[in-house]
Amino acid sequence: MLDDLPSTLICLVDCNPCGGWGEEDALALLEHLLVFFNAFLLLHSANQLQLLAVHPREVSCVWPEDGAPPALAPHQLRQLFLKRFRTLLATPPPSASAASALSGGLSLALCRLARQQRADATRQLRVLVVQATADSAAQHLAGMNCVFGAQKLGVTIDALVAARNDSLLLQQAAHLTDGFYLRLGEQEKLALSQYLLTCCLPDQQTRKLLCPPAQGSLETKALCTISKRPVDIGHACSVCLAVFAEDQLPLRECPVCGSRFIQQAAQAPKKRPKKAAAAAAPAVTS
Amino acid sequence: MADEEEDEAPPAEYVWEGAFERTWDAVRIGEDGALHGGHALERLGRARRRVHAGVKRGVLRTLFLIVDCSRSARAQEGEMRPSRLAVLQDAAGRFVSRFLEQNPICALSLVAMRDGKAFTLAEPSCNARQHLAELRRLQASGCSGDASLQNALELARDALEAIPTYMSREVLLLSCSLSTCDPGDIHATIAALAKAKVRVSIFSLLAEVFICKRITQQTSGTFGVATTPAHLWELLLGLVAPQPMEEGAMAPSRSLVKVGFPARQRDGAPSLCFLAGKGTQTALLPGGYSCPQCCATQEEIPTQCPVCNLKLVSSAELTKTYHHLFPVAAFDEVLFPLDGDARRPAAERSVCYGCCDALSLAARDGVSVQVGSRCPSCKALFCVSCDDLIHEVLHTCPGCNCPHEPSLE
Repeated sequence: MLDDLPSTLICLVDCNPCGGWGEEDALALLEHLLVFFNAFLLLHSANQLQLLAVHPREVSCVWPEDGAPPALAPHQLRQLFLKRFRTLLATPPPSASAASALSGGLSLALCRLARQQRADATRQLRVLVVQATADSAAQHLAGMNCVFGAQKLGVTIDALVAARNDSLLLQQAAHLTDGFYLRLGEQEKLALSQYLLTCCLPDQQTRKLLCPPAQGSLETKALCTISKRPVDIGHACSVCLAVFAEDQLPLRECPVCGSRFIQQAAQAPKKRPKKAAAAAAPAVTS
Repeated sequence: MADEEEDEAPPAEYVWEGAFERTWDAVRIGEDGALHGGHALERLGRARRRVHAGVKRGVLRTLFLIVDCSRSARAQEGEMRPSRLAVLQDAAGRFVSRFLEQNPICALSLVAMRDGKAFTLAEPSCNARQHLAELRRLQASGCSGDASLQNALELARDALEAIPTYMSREVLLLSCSLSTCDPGDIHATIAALAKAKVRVSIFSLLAEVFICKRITQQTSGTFGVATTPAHLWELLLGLVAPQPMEEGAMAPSRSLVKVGFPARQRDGAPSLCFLAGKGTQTALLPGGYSCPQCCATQEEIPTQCPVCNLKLVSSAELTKTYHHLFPVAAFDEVLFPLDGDARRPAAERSVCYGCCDALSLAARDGVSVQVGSRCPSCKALFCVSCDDLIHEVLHTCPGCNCPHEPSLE
């Protein structure tokens, strides 16, 4: 029988005013989240909760604040959370299409979780991401690096997406770290507490025994670097691994890293004399 | 075989040659009453050396790992305990996991040298589980006979010659014998290896052997003699990251590689899957990935389709190697002396941006200092542990990804 191990949960909440939710919608979602947070804190006396708010202008720590008492009554947590959330929703983003700094928040959360792991290696670590806006292409690489980092550290990433389309990054994150991914439709928004309590609350050991709701099919296709269309079979540059679709060929050099490709037809006659010259040199010295 | 004298042996290679170390002098009591060792500075120095930005690297690699299981591997020696084989096994196991983690699109094969012959333990694949199981089995199969460098290198060369030229061809040989028992002229093998652009690196646990050094020189590999297990690991770490692609005879060619991105089959009825790392063996398994070209089902990706020879990878695997191409810049070391009042930073400055922990303390020139690292582009301050974490695990700087508040600038 395994001991009941304490967990640390860092929740990243996307507070982008241009998100896929209006203010009323958002406040209803927060109520569901608060139910979940309180349930999480009740599970184990040593469970720890941290809240990070992500906005296009800043990533800020909502809880624990500097100088605040270490334990907080549920109603105080709600007040603190709502106050910060309302302020951030009222802060206009630099531009209407600006994405929240999700990759920054995720890497910050992993730094904090790694510190907890250094102090206590048995502690279970997890991240819950609540995303309201669509993925940003500029942050994809940094985000994926964070996901691989989380995989290495043993951090589970759960994701709730309130945007209209699925988030490619968070789907991969949940898949690679054995987490739970849910896109919030109208029905899911009403029953969010139920989803959170049954799917996100159990720890890693308990989750192995549970059967989660079916996860949507995972996109494994890569995007063509030039046409940005998903491809099944592509051609990758052997230096920088940029993928090109069949119809973009032939290419003389890689548009990303500038490497000149050896043309397949010209390859054989050009290389033979070179190889012979290279082989002759060591033969003389030996 | 002749042993060549090492010209410039670094001082204090062995523990017993070094000066008496007073490690307890470096320990300082921090403000919080905790004890801080003097290791913070050393670790920082080592992490910094490895960052080279803007280098084209050969990220598609094929590596043959050859392990010496001759009778001298059984012997116990001063620094290599409990036996040389155990040290080799441990180092090789750690190397395999680290290598496959850092180079997801690669092929790694295991070869053992025993009784004057070379045996393939694992076919080229990127499945760490299988390689580690084979390595664990080494101890049971025992060490006997002589090592044959030529047989092992010929075996590797035969396999590597069939590999497309855009993949780097590498051999890593972990040797612990002073002699080799060869059926023919090893110089001919060396010439053939150089011709096939195979880079051979040899790390010896015993001593520098002339022929081993010769092989590595002719094939532009690295040669090293490990003095302690820790030293062996340090040598191996140098080969984990892909090597920079210099213009030269040994560089892999640059071309477009045809790759397929297979879709995961729905978890429903089991289907006939090709097993990972087992060639054309099949079994009925649920799930699996189907090749987009010939629809054959594979147990795991990345792999090469056994039916149509298409390279199958997931797009996430491609992203995983990008950190070699776009590494996080090395952080600048910042020291805050605790005693000098004038230069003492404000209290909030000496907290790590990432983990909010206070910076660690270390002793330098007899003065207690706080050690931190500063990201050159976003000027955020990190502690030594977060610096390691960012460069080795995350590969992305939290400060650069978080928008800056105007008050901070």
